[in-house]
Amino acid sequence: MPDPLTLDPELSLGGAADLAAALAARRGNDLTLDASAVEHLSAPAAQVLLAARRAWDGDGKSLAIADPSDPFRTCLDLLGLGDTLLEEQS
Amino acid sequence: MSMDDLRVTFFQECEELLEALEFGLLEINEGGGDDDTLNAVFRAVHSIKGGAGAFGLDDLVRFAHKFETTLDEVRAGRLENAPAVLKTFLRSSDILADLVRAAQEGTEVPPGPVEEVLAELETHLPTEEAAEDEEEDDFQPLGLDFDFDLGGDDDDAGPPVSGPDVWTIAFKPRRTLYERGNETVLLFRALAELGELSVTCDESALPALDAMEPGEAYLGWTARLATEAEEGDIREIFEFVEDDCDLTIALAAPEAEAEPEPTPEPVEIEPLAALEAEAPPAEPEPAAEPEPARAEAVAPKAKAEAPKATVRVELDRVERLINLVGELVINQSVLSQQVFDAGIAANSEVATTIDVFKQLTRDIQEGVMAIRAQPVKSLFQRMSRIVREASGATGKTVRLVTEGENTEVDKTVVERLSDPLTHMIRNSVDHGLESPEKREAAGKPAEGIVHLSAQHRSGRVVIEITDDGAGIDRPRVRQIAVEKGLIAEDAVLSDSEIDNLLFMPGFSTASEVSNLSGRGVGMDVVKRAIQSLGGRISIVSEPGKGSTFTISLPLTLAVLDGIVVEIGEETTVIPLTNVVETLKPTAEQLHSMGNGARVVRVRGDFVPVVDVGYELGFRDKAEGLDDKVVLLTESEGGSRSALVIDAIQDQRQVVIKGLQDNYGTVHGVAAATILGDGRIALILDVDSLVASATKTKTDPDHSLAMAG
Repeated sequence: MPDPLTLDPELSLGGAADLAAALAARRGNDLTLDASAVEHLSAPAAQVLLAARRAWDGDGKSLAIADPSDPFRTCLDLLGLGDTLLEEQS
Repeated sequence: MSMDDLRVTFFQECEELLEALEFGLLEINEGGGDDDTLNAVFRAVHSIKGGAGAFGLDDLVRFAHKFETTLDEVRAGRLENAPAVLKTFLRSSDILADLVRAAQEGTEVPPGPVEEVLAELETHLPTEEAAEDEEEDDFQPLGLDFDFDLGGDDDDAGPPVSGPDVWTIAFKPRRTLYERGNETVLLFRALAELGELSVTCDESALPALDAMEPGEAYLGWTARLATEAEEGDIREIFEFVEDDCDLTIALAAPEAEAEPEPTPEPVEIEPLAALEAEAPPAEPEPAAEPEPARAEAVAPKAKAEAPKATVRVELDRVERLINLVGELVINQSVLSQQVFDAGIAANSEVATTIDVFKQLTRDIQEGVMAIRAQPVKSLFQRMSRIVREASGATGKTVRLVTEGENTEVDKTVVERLSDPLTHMIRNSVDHGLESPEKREAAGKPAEGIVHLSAQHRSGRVVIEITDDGAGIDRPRVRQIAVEKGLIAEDAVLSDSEIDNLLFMPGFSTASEVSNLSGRGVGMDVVKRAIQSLGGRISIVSEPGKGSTFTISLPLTLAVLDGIVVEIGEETTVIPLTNVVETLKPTAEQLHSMGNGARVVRVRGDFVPVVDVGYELGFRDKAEGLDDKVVLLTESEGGSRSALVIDAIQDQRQVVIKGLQDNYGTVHGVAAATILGDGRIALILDVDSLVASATKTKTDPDHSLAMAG
């Protein structure tokens, strides 16, 4: 498995574009996202993650979110996406 | 978007909000405005407070909060919109603007006026309201444990503990919500603080990863919130964003709480709410009955109030575009000229196409210029504050009447007009208008009127500042000018010449410098500022009736009205603003003086002659002026010169091309332009040309060096 992609601490609107680009570049490979440093996850960034989850599922590759930080979990839960994106960890 | 970007956005929005605030208040002040106006005013303050809170600007929050609370009193109909209240509101909006600016620049606002206005606001609040308000300040949302044991604690009018209400909140943000720095996560976090929140996300609109645009809002949410809080508390959370999302908030049936639906559509809320309406009311005032209607009403209202969609664009990009369009215009005229020179018939297809091309180019140019154009409204609104301050400082009652606020002018012109206009408005209030007693003695209403208007007139914008004061005291102006040595004691001056003395450098009615106008800025500075914008200023005054200052400005700084002239072999452009008149002097009018200097007599005055061709080294010195034309020009400070040129070709608008970036400052040359035949023509800087010509006369060696 290639190196995990470490998510930026501040995944704001601007971060969403970078994240989308970073993910697109790793398309077609199994991927682990290191979410340990995330302090804030914005809805636009969550959108990207959600789309990535679907894309990877569609490609038949694995996309894992490793070591999610508490703020990351909280933000996802607030957005109603905790179950969708973090199920592998639970 | 980084925190800094958000800050920038916040302050940009603050500016707009402050404008909206002031505009609304003024509208109400003038007897117009309805509930919507008041709501807009309220929302402006509220939005500033909200943003300020996010950036930890405590002073701003504190003030905005008090302001908002008082506004809310009016909104609730508990406080009448009396003139005194409105005056407080207007002062409050000034203070709020100060606080915003201070926060932006990281400076401090002197606490005196702030506390004063805060106290003034306080007087309009009923006492218990003020107390309750404090409570609200300290109110900490309690979250989950709030529901059961603390229910009746601080809600004395509330019902006996009946369990929390369950609200269904359908929320679909639009792209603009994120662009304005708002954030779904934070909204929901605030909701979660009100009670127990469960959120379902509607992912149905989410496109594939490679098809999505990161800034777009694809997701929608349905939140179920079990809370003791009122509907108003929930709405308040969304208040900043209600224009940027589809939002419905409705009371859901309590039993539905157990089985949250996976992705409920907003439509389903109505039946749920209707269900509640039929259920036995659990509260003294059942909020259920008007609910469905209200939930429906929100969305269309938000749509109706949504402003026209706009994009923020960096100014650099616009400038680049304007430059390119300038090139295009030039290129087009070069092409036309070449086609013409090639002897192609005017009715040929090529010529017709060229005509269409020309039309298109002109349309594009107009369109691009319109990007930079903005209404003078914001500028005029700033002036109403100046009038308020000036009238406060002088003890005069003044009303500012504005007209033509929607007249559009280039952004730079609007910005650079702010200082001169401020000064002129202050002058009008301070020097133009009389004290109320004097006014009444003169049979005028005690309230003075300053009239500020803008309008387009033949390709220029004309701004007029009129006061209904005493008019210019000509004998006194004359006397001051004599005292200051600006004019000879026995000089014969027409009325308008006396009026124009006000624009002379060094003229300041210093004997009564007040802390208002006496800031070391005279009308000469105003005149120079207007001239640097390619504008002209004039004054008309009638004793006892008042004065009118008229400023005429080009619509944009990218083009200039100029006289295209021939000098030697060269074609050059002289800015029209400098030229007073043209003449062909006879030999009798020309007089020689010592050291080669010459003067021309124009109606009794002797005006120094400046031979432009010689000064710029285009040709030898012209001996006679028989075959020459003289342009009478006026420079800064009002001194006149007679520029000698060979012939006048045309008067037209030219596109200004800066030379400074490439050549530095060239003496006597302001910029360049490209003519229709593709040749470059210099645009002369008359002031520096005249200054150097006058200097060389007193220094013959230098003049020799220049000639060689």
